Amino acid sequence: MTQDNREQEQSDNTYLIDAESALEMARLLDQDKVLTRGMNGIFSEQEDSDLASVSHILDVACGPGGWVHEVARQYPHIEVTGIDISKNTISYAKAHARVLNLKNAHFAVMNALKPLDFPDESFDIVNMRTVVGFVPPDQWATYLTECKRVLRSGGIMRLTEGEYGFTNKPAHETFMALLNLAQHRARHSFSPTGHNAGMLPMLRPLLKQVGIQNLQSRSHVIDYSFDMEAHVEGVEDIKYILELIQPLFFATKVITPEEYAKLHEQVLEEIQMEDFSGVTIMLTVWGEKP
Amino acid sequence: MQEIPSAFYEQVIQAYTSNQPLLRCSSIRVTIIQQIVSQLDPALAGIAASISVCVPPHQDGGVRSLREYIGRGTAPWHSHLENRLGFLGIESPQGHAIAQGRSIVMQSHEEKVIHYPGHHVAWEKSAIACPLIQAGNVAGCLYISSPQKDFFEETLTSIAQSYANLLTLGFLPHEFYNLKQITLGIMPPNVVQQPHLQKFQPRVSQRMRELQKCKPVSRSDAETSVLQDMEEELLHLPYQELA
Repeated sequence: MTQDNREQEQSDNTYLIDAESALEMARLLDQDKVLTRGMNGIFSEQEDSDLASVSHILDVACGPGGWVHEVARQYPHIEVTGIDISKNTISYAKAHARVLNLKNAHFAVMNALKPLDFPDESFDIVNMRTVVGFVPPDQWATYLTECKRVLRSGGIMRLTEGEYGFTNKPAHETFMALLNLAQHRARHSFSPTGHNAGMLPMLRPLLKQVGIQNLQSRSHVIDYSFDMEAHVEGVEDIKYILELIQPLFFATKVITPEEYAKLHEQVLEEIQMEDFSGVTIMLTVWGEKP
Repeated sequence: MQEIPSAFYEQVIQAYTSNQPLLRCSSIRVTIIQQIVSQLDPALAGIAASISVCVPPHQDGGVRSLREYIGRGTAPWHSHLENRLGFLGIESPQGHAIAQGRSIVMQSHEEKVIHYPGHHVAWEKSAIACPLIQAGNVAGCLYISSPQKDFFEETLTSIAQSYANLLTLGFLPHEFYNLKQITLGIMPPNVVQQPHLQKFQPRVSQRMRELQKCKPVSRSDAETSVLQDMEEELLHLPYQELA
């Protein structure tokens, strides 16, 4: 890749965390498993019988491909394709698919905020999970319209987003508040004040706005309190986020590096306390293309 | 697949070259442990892989134990193995492997019990321990368990060894110890360690508050200090507690 290409790729990449970071890729691979388990499977809202007629699925902004791998493994009759803007990420997702011997998992480098390189009505399901990090609010309508174009009539579009970090500990709550504020200042939030992540109330209106019908929703609570099974994954995820998010925090000036160093240590201490409680709420909204 | 895919190597090199030292080590270790699980257990038949690191010795003393640092698994194991982390001494395959400076393969439960009767891993039928060695100096051990007997045939043993070699990139120079410095003690079984391990994080918080009265310290410094104390305590547990 030439320097110009690299610069172009970086300027096109609207993801708030360095998507090329090896730590971020490792975090996303782990997070995929945690989310899938916490949401009772890859298609918690669908019966297996609903998927019998499904043959092609698209996963937008697939990252290192954890969701795609799992679909390909569990449903060998389905051809599942993941797209992501990052070349490294797609190369890594392909390598995992090869070692897992998943011949029905496919990956392509594509910027989902530009026209997708697929014919109209190519897919039975278009899936998007935790994409808020790369879609600015003013681009959602265009983005979803393009996703709708590649979805067949009668196909399902599903969007999953989370509201993170409801907790009983002050530093952890402060950290999550700063994260919401940083996203707000980076113009990656629907929250009018930056007090929350702001995506959950928007999933239904966004899908409705582009003409997706028969909208339904299902929520899941992922409890990563000290005595819960998900605590160990939650702690590791927070440890990595604490490192990866620093450039965004300092660029958006939500905290100084000196203040952050203190907060960082306090969060690490709190999440290991026996009385630590924390939950994340995930919401999936889905509907049909008429 | 007979060898580590080139894209996996590339990802590790990416982690090595693009991060600050501390973040670099975490990135490399978690990336490689995920790759091991993915490559060695594509069919989800069960695998558990963990990395143990040498507990830094007091001053000029020798390395007395290892501590399990990070682990990943597939069913029947949990996806994250951190809950079982404990101290390991010469009674463990990991300890034996780093003391000998060579890999140890155990192809059956019976074979393991003969040599390591005090080291029990639930569901494990075969295992491999590969020391993490760079130029004659050791930083820790890669340990992989399988619920299948005779799992680690020649190809998988070779792949495990390649991952162990790669893992040495995930350590800083001061985390390596000359093999002559490895003077492991005998650690009590994990079940005896558990009540002590549960106090680890509260003790780290307490230690941070104590140390910060004198100078700023990181949580990592406080953790090392508490690890050294706990190691000492576990190596000298009274007989009643071991019984």
